[in-house]
Amino acid sequence: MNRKMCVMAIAMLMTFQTGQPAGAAPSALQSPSENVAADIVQGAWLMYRHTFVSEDGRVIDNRNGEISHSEGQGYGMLMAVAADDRRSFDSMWRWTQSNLMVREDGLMAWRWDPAQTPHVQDRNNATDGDLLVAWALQRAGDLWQEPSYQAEAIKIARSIGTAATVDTPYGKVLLPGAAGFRTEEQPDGPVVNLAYWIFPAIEDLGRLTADFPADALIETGLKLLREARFGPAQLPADWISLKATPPAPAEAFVPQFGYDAIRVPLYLSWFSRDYPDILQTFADEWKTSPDDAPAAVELNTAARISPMSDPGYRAIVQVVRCSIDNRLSSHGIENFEPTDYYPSTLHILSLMAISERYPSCLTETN
Amino acid sequence: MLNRNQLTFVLLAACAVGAPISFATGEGPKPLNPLGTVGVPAQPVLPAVGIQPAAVGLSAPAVQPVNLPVGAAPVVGYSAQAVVMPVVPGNQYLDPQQFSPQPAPVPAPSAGIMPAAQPTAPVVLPSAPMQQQVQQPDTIPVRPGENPFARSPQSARAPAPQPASATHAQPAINAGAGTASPAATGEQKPPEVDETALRYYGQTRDFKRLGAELRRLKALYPGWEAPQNIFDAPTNISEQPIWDLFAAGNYAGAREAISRMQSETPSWTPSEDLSTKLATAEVRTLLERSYAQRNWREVITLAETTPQMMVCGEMNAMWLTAEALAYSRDYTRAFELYKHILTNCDDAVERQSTIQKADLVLPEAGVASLLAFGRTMPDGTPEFENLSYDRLRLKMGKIASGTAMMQIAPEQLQSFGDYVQRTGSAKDAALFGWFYYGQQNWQASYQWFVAASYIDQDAKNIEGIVLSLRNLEQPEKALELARQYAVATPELKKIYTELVSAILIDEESKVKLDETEIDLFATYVEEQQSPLGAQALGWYRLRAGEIKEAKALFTQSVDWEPTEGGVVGLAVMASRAKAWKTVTALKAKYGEQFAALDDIKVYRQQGVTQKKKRNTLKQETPNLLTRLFGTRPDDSKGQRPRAAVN
Repeated sequence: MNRKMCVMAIAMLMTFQTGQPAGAAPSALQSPSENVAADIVQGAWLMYRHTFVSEDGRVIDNRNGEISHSEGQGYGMLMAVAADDRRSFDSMWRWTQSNLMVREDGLMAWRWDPAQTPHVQDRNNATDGDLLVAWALQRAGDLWQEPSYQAEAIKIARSIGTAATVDTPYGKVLLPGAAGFRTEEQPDGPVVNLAYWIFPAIEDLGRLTADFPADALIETGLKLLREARFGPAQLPADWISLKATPPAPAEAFVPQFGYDAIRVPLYLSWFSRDYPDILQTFADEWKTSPDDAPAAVELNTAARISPMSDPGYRAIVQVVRCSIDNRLSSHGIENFEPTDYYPSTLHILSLMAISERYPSCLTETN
Repeated sequence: MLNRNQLTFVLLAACAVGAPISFATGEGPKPLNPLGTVGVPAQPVLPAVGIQPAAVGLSAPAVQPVNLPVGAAPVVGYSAQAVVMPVVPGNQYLDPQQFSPQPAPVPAPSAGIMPAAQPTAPVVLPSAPMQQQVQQPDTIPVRPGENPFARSPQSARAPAPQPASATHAQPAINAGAGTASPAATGEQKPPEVDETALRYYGQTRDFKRLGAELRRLKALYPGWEAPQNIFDAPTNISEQPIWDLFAAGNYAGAREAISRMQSETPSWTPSEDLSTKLATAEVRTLLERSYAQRNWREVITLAETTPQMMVCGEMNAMWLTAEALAYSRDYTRAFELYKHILTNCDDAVERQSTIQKADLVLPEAGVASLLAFGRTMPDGTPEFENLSYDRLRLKMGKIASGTAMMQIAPEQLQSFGDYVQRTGSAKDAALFGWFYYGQQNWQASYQWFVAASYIDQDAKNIEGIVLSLRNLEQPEKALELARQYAVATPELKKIYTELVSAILIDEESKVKLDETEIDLFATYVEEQQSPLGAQALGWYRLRAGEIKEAKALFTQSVDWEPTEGGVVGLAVMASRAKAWKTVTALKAKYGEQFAALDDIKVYRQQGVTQKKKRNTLKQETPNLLTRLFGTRPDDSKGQRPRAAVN
């Protein structure tokens, strides 16, 4: 395996602490001052915080009725750690604990609506939100030497393993939520969402606690990435049924590569540069997109039904290029501008992926 | 003579704000005076006064303990010459060696003042019950610095662990008894960080440079946090008019202006600085108003909900809150807030005021415990040493003015005396003077007044010396000094007049007054329209056979104010002139008022006129007459008064 670990200081710290063989890391490691993406993450985070995070630590989804969700809290916390902004991290974590940790199994209610009373109407979790919060806690514990964060991360990771994973003929999978996606709960269950496989998070949490079935999940995830491709474009669907072989777009959802699945190539690129074969499918799809903007794709016809033109979506295209070619296909990822919550989040996550995995892809000169 | 009210005033003024310092708590504070109780330095260092510095000796002789070590003779670091000289430079009037009633060369101070030598000297008053505090909450004997009102001092000693989230300053107001909070110390001063570049990059949305600048600043200032408002768009709208309203204290107007500008320019928001300052000012105003309305609950609520008011920069708000807590009998939190101030705030004057304010509202034990938060000054003395004597000062003042009888422990007086000597506090020395003066320990009061006037030639100190000398039966010395300073204050002129009057009235006085003195005296009498002085001069003229002048003086005296001496003088004159109608008329007019008129026919002027207190006259006159004549004449009608015979 030719895994070159190009990580910024945070990731390096984490790597050493978790006992990862570190032989490959230092050679490619750039000093933080040369990590342009890391600097942009720091600065852009302040803008993001200014735009989407309330004083009391709530990450607000501005396009969705000003609601908040566990995913957003997790993203916010993750970005705050990357930007070394502990005060914001603490306030977001406090808000999350106070408002979303209302379940007995240690997972979070997925949705909080300021217009509803009670604000949490559905106590079900969203497993990607749980993963993100746990991962952010783990990284915060490493960066700020705060063992209590690690302890919380371990608790959540264990709960995910217990309450939100299930064994299938494809292997162990993440359920999108603890309730509603199992074999018996959907006509074509189990139903999974590949965008919930946050590979780098799964890998790190696996190092944190052996109770979290990271290896099995990663193995299944990679397998599904290769097998769950549909239609002429050969792209994964947002929601996938594992009832039969091969997998199929889930019946209860629109069969499309959409706003969920757009994260799949981002997470995989962030995880490793070792999967150009998988990523190439996405790159091929985007090669012919105007302005390097991805689009939602109807899978049966490969029709691009709506372009994703926000800079945040286009940033994902750049990350995938970095992973495949170690270069950007165009400029623009460095120009963060807050648009809406979701693409702005993806933009900063993309910058984080570059700063941690492909720092040489974005330098002062290019 | 100073009347009682004046004396009281002087004393109370000298005491300033009294501070009840408790030494009564069980474990009690350690002696705050590092000098302990004995061991007065032989040559105490005094502030440079410029007069005979070599021989300075501001001694506190009166409070020396009874059993001085034999070898400690110089312990009374008193140099008679040195102390006396500065009062009247180049003048020997005050030399105790010259005036001392003791024939022996003076250790006048020790002889006259030390209880050992003069056991009757009431250095410590016999016990009377201590004045009860009006409010006596439950207190727990605690070590200094601990909260004596906390229900569980144990828990107060062991601060409850703070939740990890408590990264921001927690106001002391929220620190209850059981959670004497380390966060009470949490007033972190933000470092002075130049955020200009940061704001520039923020406003130009140059996130790469913004990030690099953030990284640079974080490395330079660990713990520094990026401000929230770096993206605020620069605006052409000037906030100056709002700031002007703010500066003028017109907060409502400032609010109005803000909303007006916002309605004109919806995208505009006031700067964070303005918003914060305005909000704080509004709360401050509300808090002060609530306090003025004695709405303690509201004051406390405001403080609880506005942590930014509980900072050193808002000292007055913290004081008012602490007082509101104390008035609500929440001594526990009041104590915690005072402690918060003393632990965190550095302004020396405010720290002193904090103790004094706490003293007005907290029970003794609380203030005693707070004193422990005093720092050690550069000269090694405790910061609140001076204040720690306030309660003692108050007691001494009350004792001196006769408004209270209470007990003062000799070691307290000793400690205070050491302190006064060490610090050269003229006011405190004068307080000692009045304290002993009030106890008729003239020798001690004289020494202290001399000491006080060495530092501060305040007229009151001179008065103290003159009055002490007079009571020490040193009228000549008293007179010399009074004459010298008579022009200094009306009070001293009055004392001078009284001194001369007493001499003139006293036929047996050994003090000889020359005509210059009499002329000066007459001038002052006229100037002050002194009935006492006029009638005294009247008797003097009468003795000299200057009948006409005497009569005029008595008339003048009664004109200014009818006094016994003046009226009797007139009666005697009339009696001598056999103007019996006049005598009868005087008796009719003043008989009720001045009993001495009853005895006019056997009158000897010095007998009555020496009495100054009218209310004692009736009691004393018969004794006097008995002494003079062996028997009280039953009917003296027609008999010429002895005075008239002279």
